[in-house]
Amino acid sequence: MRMALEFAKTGAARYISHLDLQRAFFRAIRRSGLPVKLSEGFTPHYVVSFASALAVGMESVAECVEMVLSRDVATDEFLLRMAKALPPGLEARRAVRLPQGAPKLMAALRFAEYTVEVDGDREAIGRAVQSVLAETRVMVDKRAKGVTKQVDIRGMIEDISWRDDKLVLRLATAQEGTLRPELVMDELCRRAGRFSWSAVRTALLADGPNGPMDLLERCRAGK
Amino acid sequence: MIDTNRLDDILSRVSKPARYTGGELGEIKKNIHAGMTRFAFCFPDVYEVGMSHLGTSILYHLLNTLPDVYAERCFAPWPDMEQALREAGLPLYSLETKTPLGEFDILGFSLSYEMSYTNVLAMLALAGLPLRAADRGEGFPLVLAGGGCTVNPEPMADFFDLFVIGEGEEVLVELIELYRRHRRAGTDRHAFLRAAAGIEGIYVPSLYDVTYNADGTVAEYTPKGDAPAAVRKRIVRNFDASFYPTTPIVPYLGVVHDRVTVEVMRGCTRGCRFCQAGFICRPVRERSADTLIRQAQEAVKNTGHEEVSMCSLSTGDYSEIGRLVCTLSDAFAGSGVSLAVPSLRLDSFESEYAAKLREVRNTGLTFAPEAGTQRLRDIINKNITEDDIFRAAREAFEAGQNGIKLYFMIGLPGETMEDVLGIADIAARLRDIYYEVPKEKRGPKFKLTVSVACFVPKPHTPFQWAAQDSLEALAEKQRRLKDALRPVKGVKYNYHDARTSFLEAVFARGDRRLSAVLETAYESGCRFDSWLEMFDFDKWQAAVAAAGIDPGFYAARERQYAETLPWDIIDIGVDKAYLWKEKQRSEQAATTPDCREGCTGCGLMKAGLCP
Repeated sequence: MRMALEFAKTGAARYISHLDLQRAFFRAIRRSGLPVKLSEGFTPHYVVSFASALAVGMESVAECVEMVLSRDVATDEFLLRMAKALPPGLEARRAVRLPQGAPKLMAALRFAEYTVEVDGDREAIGRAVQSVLAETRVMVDKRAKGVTKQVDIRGMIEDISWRDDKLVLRLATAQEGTLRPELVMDELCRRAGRFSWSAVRTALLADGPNGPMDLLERCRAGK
Repeated sequence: MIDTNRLDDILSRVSKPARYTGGELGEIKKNIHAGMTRFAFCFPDVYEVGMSHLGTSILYHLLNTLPDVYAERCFAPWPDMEQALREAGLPLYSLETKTPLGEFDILGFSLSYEMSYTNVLAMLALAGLPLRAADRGEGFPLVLAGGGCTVNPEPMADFFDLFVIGEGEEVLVELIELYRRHRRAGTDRHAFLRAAAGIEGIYVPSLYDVTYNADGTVAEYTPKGDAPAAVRKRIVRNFDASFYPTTPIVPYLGVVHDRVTVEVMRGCTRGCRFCQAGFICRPVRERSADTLIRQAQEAVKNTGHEEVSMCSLSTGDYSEIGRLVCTLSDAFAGSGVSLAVPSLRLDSFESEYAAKLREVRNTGLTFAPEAGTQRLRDIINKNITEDDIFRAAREAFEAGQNGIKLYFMIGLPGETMEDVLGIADIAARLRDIYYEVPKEKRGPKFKLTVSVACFVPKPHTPFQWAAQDSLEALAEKQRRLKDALRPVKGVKYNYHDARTSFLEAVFARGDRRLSAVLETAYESGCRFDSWLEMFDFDKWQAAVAAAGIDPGFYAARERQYAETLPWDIIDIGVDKAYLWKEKQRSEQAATTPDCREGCTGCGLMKAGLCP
């Protein structure tokens, strides 16, 4: 059976890399005693697959991972045992049983949502948001492997809105391309004047019948 | 507690920030209260190295079993972090509570490698402490060190208040009890140090005056007050019952030894003459297989680790090795947990046991013949023959093993070029043996790794009087061996930077005058000198010159028996006369049998340390 888990990665754990996260899960699974399937071969390891990698240093309350169990385990029991086994900084939040034929989390993922606390002139930031959303092309500098190039990020911005007094960014996060929130925030800073901000990833989203929807709910629905 | 906002700001910029956060599974959290003794384990290398150090893990968890003691951890910051801390004006801090090191009662450094000494000074400086013990008066933390290097603590003597000699489990607890009594009584630092010198295994360097002869050798150590003439090392007599942490910290970062390590045995009976551990860790004490099986299973359950390693100086000599490996491999079958057995001796290698290991996991085989000819192996008392090597290799190839790793040394006493080239002969013979094994049995490709280290004469060994080869001689041997190995296809040849081994030799057998070199090297920016990319030999040469020291005096000088050696102040229980006798036997290429076959009279029994 396939099981998906939503977990938070906060505090000191936000500084661990994706590879370290994977290893932390292997060990948590072994401690949990859950019947997670092992790979074949000389160095068997648990078959776990994360929806997406999170940048080192970023906190998230909505990371998702899926794994295959060799026998049925109730969702509640699975959640409880993972919650007990995960190390400090990683917190199990929700478990969902994935039906046969449900897409892989990684394949279904379209957007990540970031909730951003901002410390600056709210009106100016609001105007910067409106101007970004109104344009069809937003060219920014992107540094990769020591080379800076101009890229158009507009197509990867699904939405930017206010929730209470925080900004909520919905950005493309998929195998076809991922937009990191700092590129958007740097552009807003350029337009609104420097302000400080801090972001937490608060949701992973898939395409739903009426627009973006919760990734785990989407996968729970099957094909 | 340091300013965590500023810390977060730094952590978002440095490499591998998880080195500096703590918060792992198994980390000890305590409520801090008045009257608590706060101890920081300081490891003078990066997190990934320090977290692999079993001794630190044992002592960390052991001290934390004491109700009024809280032990925390601190590792050497990588240069980017050191710079960031300095720029932010933040002191070095403990991982558990982010407390500045200067606020601890006791800082305990682990000295396991000479090339980590500059990191010790960097850590003291980053803690805001004066480097020299004499400059740290009342109100400063007590700064102590333990670990393998303390069998010659002299080059570091000026920086530490005291050293813990030998195994720390019992003596460290006694020392902390004494510290707490003195704290309650309000006695001064000096009175405490004098009392501490009364505990067997505690060396307080400030209680000795050292004088030197005109030729630079040590004239005399004069103890002050009741300080002992020599400090006897401590051992744990009942090793089977001694503390072992079954809930060790599980690092998030991939560390060097990222696994459960059970310690099967302390000491080694072989008596290889180059091997410092073989002499200083005597006598042999084993843990029972039942204890080890329980500890391994508990630790795997608590940590979730995927590998268990059985650690000792010579695991193949462990008397219950067969039962231990078989029981554990059965217990872990199908769970994805594998067993690793390092330090196998050739002659204790049995094919049945090799097959069992292969079932668990296909790790490569590693052997350490150490020298290329039988004559030289006899000189160093590595009691294995070429036939042992070839037989073990054939069995390994027949079992389908692919990679074999061989460890050698060059620059050994009595070595000729013939001995060096003998290493290439062994490699060539192993290649022939591989092709003699039928195709369907052997692995798909001949892969042999030949790792060659440069010999460093170490204190408390029969070679402690020996001259190290010059840098030129070592370079020539490395070059000739490289040429000789070139035609042997499938061999990977690794060799060490001889300049590192040269400095290691200087500090391994150094005296107190070297503290000036270390201070200058630290000030000129030497850090992480055991890391190839960080090692800067020019800076070291400048530091040595600035101190007016001739490094050859320490590394390349043959000593006489009558000479007072700086490390004579440390008594490891083995007689100096025995070591000299072993040196003389080595000159005749006479071997000395394993002392399990009969006592060879090393002095440990006379000292009451060997049962």
